[in-house]
Amino acid sequence: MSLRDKVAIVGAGCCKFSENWTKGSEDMIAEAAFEAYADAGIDEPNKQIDAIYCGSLYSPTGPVDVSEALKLYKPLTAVYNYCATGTEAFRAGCMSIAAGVYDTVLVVGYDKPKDRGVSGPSVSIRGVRDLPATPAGWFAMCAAPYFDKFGATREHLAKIAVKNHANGCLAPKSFLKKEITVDDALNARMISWPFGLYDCAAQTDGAAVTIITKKDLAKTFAQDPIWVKAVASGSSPNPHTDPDHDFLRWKATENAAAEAYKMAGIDNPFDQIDVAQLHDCFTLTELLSYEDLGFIEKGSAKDHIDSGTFTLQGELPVNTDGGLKTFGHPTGATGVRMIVENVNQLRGRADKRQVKNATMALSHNIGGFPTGCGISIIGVE
Amino acid sequence: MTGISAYGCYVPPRRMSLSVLSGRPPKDGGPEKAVAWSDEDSITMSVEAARQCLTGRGRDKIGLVILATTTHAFDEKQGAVIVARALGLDETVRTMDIGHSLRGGSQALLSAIDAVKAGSVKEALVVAADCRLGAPGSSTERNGGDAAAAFLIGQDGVIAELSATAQCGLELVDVWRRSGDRFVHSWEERFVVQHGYLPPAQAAGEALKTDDIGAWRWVLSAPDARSHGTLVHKLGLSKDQVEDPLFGRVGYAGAAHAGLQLVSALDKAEVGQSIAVVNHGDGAEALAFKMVGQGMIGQGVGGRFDAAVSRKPTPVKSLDQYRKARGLEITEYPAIDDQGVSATVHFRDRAENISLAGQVCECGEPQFPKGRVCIRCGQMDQWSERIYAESGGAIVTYTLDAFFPSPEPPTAVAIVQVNDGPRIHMQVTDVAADDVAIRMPVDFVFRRIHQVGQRPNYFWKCTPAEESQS
Repeated sequence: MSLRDKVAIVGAGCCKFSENWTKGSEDMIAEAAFEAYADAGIDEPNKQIDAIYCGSLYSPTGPVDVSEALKLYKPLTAVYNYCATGTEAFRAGCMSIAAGVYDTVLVVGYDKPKDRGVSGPSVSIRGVRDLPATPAGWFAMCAAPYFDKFGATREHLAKIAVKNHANGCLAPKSFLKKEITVDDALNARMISWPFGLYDCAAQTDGAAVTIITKKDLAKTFAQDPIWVKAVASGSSPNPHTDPDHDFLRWKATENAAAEAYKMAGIDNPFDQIDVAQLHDCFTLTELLSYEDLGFIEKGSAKDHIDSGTFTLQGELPVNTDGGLKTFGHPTGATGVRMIVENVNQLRGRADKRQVKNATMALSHNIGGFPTGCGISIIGVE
Repeated sequence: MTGISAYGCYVPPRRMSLSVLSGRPPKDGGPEKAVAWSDEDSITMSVEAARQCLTGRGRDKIGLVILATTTHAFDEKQGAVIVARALGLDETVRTMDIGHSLRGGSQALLSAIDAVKAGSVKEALVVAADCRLGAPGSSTERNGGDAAAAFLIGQDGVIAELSATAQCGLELVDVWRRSGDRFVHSWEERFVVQHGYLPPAQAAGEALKTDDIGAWRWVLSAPDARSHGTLVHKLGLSKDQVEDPLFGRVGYAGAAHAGLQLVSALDKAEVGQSIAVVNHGDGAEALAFKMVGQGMIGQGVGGRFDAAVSRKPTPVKSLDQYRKARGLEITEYPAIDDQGVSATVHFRDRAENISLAGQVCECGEPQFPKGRVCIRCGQMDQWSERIYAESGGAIVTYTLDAFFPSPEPPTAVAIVQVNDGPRIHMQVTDVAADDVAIRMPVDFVFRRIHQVGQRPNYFWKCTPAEESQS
């Protein structure tokens, strides 16, 4: 069953993404949720919201964070799909409405990794195989074959970082507000070749919320609705052991994109999508996603990076709020934060980073080794 | 006829300059010692020595594996069985450890020869390995080195037959490590040499002497170069009939020291010649071998020591790196740790982790690690086991991970396409980071991956393939 035009987004909220030393998960969830309530014109959430879908990777306590933060006496479901967790929570919420189970649902993505006392993601040393198990190491595995085949270099990756740093400076709630140069990126300390420090997303704390409702109720809230055109999920076998993997792409993105475009009725994504938030956990992930999502031909990313196709002024602006790179990457929140940014773009309230006349927006997460992907497409009509 | 029918050794590639060890700048061509790096220990070195020993030979006649070491990571848990599994030997093979004595290597040889002579087993594999750990700044640290030697004992194709033995067991407290001690301790050095080392070693050596010793090669273990020189003098030997004791190159390698020199002596010996081995520790014993040469020259034997000692020698860059690799860095907090790898998970994964066992589906698709469902044909449980340790492969892709904790970041890690096999995610070792490349051919080596749970955890790594190995 397609989700197209069955569900509408009527509220969106996001807390400041940062190293929120003075705030806990519950603080951030409350700030994001109350902003979304105000957006939707909800003043009695216990009467106007029927269920909660939430997701977090790092929470030691789980869904109770949300019910405690918001004091809601509602059915509560937690989902988990690595970096695609936020989009996955949104997808589960949309399906519950499309199935007619609930009318209005609160979707909460959040994470609080900075309470762990470590910089960057956890380093797992639980097994003896598959080590080192670092996200940078997993996502770097496409670099050598891709560079070898298509002639891209670290400089193309650096240009993505430069773009996202510039965009982040225009987003009030982003973490890093610092413009960088290609040389800054190339000369930074190495994390996992070819990724230097500036090729890696900034891990932060954060929470983001959307409020979604069924078609019949869409016009009863404060704002004009934004329509869900598609929410799709894709997975793939572990690329490390996949005997056919060419390390020029991530198959999970290709799988999810095919489903999402079919659901949304899109046959030319480059022309039909006006703005996109892509999973730039590492610069190369964004580069591969341009191609894996079918925006451009496989292997042509370096030319589009050089010509500025994906900058704010380009034909298809990507990561308008700075992306994971500079807005910050609280893992469970990221997918929902992207949808919030797309809602802002489609409603024309993105201020200095506004993409003109945007009517269709895509967001994309990929996580695991990577093995799982979530995609949403939303539009104004 | 019973004796040594194959042999091999392993010298870890890392070399620590003795100047750097003393806090001075490195000296070109100066004295150094071989150092087992953070992913090596007596078990991994034993596996590599045994693989060199068994190169090009079948392994199915081996009925006994004896491991001699004073530096196995466990007081209770056998080491020989890990070596046997890593070599892909059958579970019916007898395994035993000889510990607690620096003389264990020669005792293991004698026991293996006895077992083969008695007809209990057709072939016995003896491995001796040690990582000498002296307290930072001590002479034990300067003189010690790390290495392993392996010998296949059998009755077919014998190279060297045991011709005589002599024993001198002593009880005295000269050099020791109490249960739980990390470092070797010793009584006053002059006492150790004058009572613990020289008298029993001289007595055992003298007992071997016959009229024709002028043509003999002598292998003498010794705690340091000076003591070695004194023993040579006391036994009335000329320098050119004594094997290089490897001080300034490898160092005193504990239970493996005599074995390592014996490998070097066997490489050079001629048919008819005799080799005397004097091994000290809690007394001493002496073994005489006569070269009979059934399986010698022209059959791929020889050059084993040179191959091992010249394999990828890599200087340790700093004292700091050396301390980190040996777990000697100064810290107030214990390393991040937990219960370690679940013992039940370790049990389930033992074939993959220790033997590098994967499987091949009925449809022909190889797989690692073992799963139930085939990624190619979708069938369940149509598998037969394959061991990939000796297969080698090539790097499909890689990264250099500087984020993962290591004494010497970055950690090179690759997806390896195993020759006629599956793809395996593996660390790359004994290679400069800049040299890692896609399509690079690799061999596999057995290594210590980490020690979470305060236990050594073993798996295989890949390393740039040797250009050719006899």
